[in-house]
Amino acid sequence: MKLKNKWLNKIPPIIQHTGPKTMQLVRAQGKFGLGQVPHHSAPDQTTSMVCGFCSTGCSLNIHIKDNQAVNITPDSEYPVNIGMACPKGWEALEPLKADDRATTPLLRKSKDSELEEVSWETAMQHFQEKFKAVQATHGDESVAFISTGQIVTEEMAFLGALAKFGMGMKHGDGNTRQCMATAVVAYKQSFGFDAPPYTYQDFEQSDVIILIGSNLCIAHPIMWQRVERNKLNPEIIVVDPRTTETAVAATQHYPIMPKSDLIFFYGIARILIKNGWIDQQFINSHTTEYENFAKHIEQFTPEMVAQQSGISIEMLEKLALTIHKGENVSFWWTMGVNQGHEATRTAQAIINLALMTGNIGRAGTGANSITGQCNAMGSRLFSNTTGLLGGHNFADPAHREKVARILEIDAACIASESSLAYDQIIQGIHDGKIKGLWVIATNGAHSWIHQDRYKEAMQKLDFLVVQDMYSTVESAEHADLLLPAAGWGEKDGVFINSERRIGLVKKVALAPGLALSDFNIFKLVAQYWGCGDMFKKWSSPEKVFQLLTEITKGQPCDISGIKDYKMLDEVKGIQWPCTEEDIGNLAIQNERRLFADGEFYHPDGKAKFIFSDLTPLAELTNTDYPFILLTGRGSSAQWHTQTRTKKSAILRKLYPKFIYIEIHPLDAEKLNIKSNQVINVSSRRATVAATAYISTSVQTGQIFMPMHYAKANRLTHGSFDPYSRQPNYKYCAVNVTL
Amino acid sequence: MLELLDPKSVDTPESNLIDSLLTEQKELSAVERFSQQHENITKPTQAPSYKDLIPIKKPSTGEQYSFSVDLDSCTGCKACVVACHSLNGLDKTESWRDVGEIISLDTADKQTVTSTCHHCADPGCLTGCPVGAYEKIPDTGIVRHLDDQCIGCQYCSLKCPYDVPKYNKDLGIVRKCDMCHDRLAEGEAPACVQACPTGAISIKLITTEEIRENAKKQSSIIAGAFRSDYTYPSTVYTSSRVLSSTMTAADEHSLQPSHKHTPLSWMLILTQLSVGISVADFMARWIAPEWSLDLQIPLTVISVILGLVGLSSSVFHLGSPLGAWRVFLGLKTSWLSREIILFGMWMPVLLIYAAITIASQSNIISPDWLPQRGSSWILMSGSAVLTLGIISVFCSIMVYVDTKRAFWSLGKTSYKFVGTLLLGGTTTLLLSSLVFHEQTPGSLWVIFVIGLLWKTLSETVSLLYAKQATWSMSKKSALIQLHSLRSTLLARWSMMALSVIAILLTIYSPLFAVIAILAMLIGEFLERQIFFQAVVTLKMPGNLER
Repeated sequence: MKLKNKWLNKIPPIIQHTGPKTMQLVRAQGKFGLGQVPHHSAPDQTTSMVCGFCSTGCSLNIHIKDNQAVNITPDSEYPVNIGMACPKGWEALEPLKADDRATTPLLRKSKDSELEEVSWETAMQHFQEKFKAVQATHGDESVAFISTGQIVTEEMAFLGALAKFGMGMKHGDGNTRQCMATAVVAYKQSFGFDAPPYTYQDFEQSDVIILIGSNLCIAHPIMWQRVERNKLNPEIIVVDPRTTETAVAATQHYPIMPKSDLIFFYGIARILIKNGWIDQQFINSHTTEYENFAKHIEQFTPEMVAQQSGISIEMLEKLALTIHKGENVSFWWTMGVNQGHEATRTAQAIINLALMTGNIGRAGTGANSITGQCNAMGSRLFSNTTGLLGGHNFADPAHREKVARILEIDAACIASESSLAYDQIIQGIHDGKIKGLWVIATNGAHSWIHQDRYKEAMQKLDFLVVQDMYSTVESAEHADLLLPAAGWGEKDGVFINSERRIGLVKKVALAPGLALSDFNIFKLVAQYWGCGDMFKKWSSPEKVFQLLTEITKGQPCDISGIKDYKMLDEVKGIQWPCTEEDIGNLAIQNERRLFADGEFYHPDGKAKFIFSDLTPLAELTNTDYPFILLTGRGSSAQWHTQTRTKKSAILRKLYPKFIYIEIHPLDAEKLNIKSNQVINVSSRRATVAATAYISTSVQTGQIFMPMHYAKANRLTHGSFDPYSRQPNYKYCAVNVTL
Repeated sequence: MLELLDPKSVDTPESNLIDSLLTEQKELSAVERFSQQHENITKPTQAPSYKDLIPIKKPSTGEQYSFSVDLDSCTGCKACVVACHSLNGLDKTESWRDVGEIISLDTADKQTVTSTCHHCADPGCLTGCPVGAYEKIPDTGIVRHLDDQCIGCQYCSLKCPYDVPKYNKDLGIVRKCDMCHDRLAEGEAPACVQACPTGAISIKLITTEEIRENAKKQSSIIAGAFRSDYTYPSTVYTSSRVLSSTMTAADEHSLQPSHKHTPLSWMLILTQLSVGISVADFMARWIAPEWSLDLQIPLTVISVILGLVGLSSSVFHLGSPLGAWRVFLGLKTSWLSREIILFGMWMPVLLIYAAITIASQSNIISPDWLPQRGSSWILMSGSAVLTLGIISVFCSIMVYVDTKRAFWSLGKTSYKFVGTLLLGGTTTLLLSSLVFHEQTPGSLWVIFVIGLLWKTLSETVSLLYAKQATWSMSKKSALIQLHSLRSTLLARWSMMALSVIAILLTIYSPLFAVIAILAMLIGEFLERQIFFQAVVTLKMPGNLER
């Protein structure tokens, strides 16, 4: 009997319902409330932390198996994303596994030689020798640093303090200059402090949502999720030259001429005032300078505005009426506004609209700047670049005393002037004033405006140090020293998101080779530079966090109520301000907004109407360069310069591989361009080959190029907003040829 | 690495710091330090978010699960694609859901479209599978692929008009969406449904009648998709906007060639040439028995060799050939199953025919015995070879016709396949005569030219579509040939020209016959590559070029 069975068992069945290949897809019951997960990656532990890409700040569940982070699902219970994530968040672990991670320090012994592997000892010796030599020859200010919006707050603070208090550097800026500087300056001038007032719940409670220069569906898909949860059937208004994915989903779209936004909003304000559609009571009680503002915008008649912006008078009036009829109108903006030549005044024109209609401080209202990078908000408060740690002022002696006291350092170490901005640092390099540069976690060789000029500057430096996760990053091309850094997921710390929420980032994976977290690298640098004593209190990220909370006492961004990381983890992210008194209420309400009491941060407690004349564009189109070049985000699967997202095979499938432009069918026809044809785009600075996609998402005379491709910024023009010094990525003149 | 173990840094405070920092970097403390959430909870915490997106009850008789997509909510973020990949533990680039776009250049309309398997009521993959590796589960209507039954022939990828089954090279099988059937069985939503931030994707119950009615009401489930009355897809796309009927897939104008399927090209031309030679040989024996007597052995031998090589090359096409013995399971619905079985019957008969032919002309068997039975055996086996061969080639033609692809219509495919058959037969006959006989009758040249013209016309007529004003699948195939496959096209005609020249030169030396045959083989192979590559793969709307 046994023999017969054995023989029968060897005969394969007619239909194989199961087998080794079928078993590969079997799912296991994920515990920890996860639902079913692939059985080969079923976790034995989980923990949650904030994503390291954009400033939405979604929380992700990290599945851990045998101490390895093996998978990610979105956290169902975090107030920001309520169980959702965009493609980048789902793939956040992939970039950590790439082959080209920087695993050892690399040194270039001479300008013509290749980068060679060296020990940390050698790297640090070189670091301090070379930079000190530059400072000795050309002055302390001749060495500068470029920080970033994508490392944890504790590291930003450490870098800023180390460079400025310990290493005698005067000039340092961050890549947040490229995205948020405008919002920062606009808020500081209008409200008295850099304070985005909203909470994401405002998306759900607003009945008129106005998105300006913001392709929310693609750039912040999880914020768009909140819009979709809005049950008030809101008007969704998009102001954008392009018919973006968000414009398609909107109820009203105003395709203004590129960079006509300032006159557009002055025009809308004028219509509101003319019709008496303003909240006079709010204006009187909570603002100043309204009269002067009203007088100033008299000149921007509907006829003039229609002519400049390309939006008919009818449509202008429709928008004004919609704003008036809304009970809780919210204004949201991001790069379309921030990256312009008169960006600060444009942001303030938007703030003015919110102020004059009393649409601020209440649920579903606000003049709301949406942030770009995961920790740009952390950088704004704690990078110690434009502002002294904790949102303080370098120029204020009382502030310097306070910070010095808490850090237990000599107040004389703290400079009283602020430093040069990013573009001025680049100029300084060209002028020979700055000879040494330390670049941390940012890829300026791809992302900075007028790329060729940036690269020329890098070649003029005596010593360039690049600190990054990857040795292949574009910016490493000219580096003399590359320091291998750990990435998100390989270190502890906090991020602050768009709605001011402080969230935890945890170490769930091991950095490869000899890579160290930026925090640890700063510790090393301090030691080798000889200022290790100054930073002996800076023993761990959590200790630094607690120092920073102390520094913020009494500030608008007071977070002295947050005791430690455990509290942040348990309460699920805490927005600033959070004093000890606020802690008790968090259990009831953990989505809070600012200005509910109408009190702003200027000494008089009032918000200011800020305005000025229009400024002409620095580069105009002409017969040689007849097209306006718009740049922006391509898809939700691409993050900025793609240093990380291009390491994920599945994300790479989700966007075009080669650099491309979108061009209108009529323009394509005139130039005899077929879809998918490779054409040349040239500006006064460079010519770049790109694939042409014929699309009605752009208007005639305008083309769009995503910023994620390394060559895009060869074309852009280096003009800057005079107040924020943010580059104007949204307008330059180009030509398209076969 | 010597640099890294710097000897002089033995015990300085700095080097100690480096070591301690490197040690600290290698410690993982997150999970001990932070709260372990939900350690004992088995119910998914995400359930409240998706409870409204899946049906409360299971399908009853005549009902099945289907995907319902609210296009108003889809913004093309593609979280669904990555979630399918991560929550199903798929390979590096594998995902079963895709996101594309439909556009209208006239009305400036655009709409992102997310799609996956449509779990059709009459699935093309299921009917086409030769080994029964697909099942439509009665309780749920989900079309499940049986990974361990699959032989990796990829016919289902050709039969599916939505390009759903995707070949996985590492596993040697295709895989596709299974609507997360085990999740649904436990009241959990499929991965894509869970992951869509705006809840655009949901699972709804639908009856088979509704599926058929929808196919009648709207020609396709969405602009840019194939007509629904072929496989009756169950997916429903809803939108509050009227998506204009002039909308097209964003990648409609992409001239990307389709997959080559190289082993299949060899299999097709070699089997068709082999059958063609049998036809020529049989006709010659019937019309001019004495003249063709000494040609019989070379013709049958060449026929056998080509046939054997052709059939074995088809095995190279299979990713998992061991299960191929199950090929009878698909006979009822699959032309591929029929083709394989019929060729499987043809080859032994061909071998017998060849054996008899050789035996009848050699002295192996006693001359007395043969004249009595030999000619009838030759007649019987010869007719059997011819019949089986022609029916097999007919099955080959139907395999492609059944995919409903315009470039593979009955007319176009028969023209080509029969053309190979004719060209093979007439050329081989002519060449054999040139080599083995003193004189070659003019009629042979005539039929050779007819074969040549037939073949040439069958391939060039389709190129005329390139001039057509309106866009069509045929025009697209013509453009693919003229632009993307230009070098292959030129190579194909060069080979054809070379073989004709070599045939003419055979008059001077029989060696040219060899060149002629080789050139013709390569030329036919290239024609077949174009056959596969110039076809427009039927699929859901995609994106601008990847």
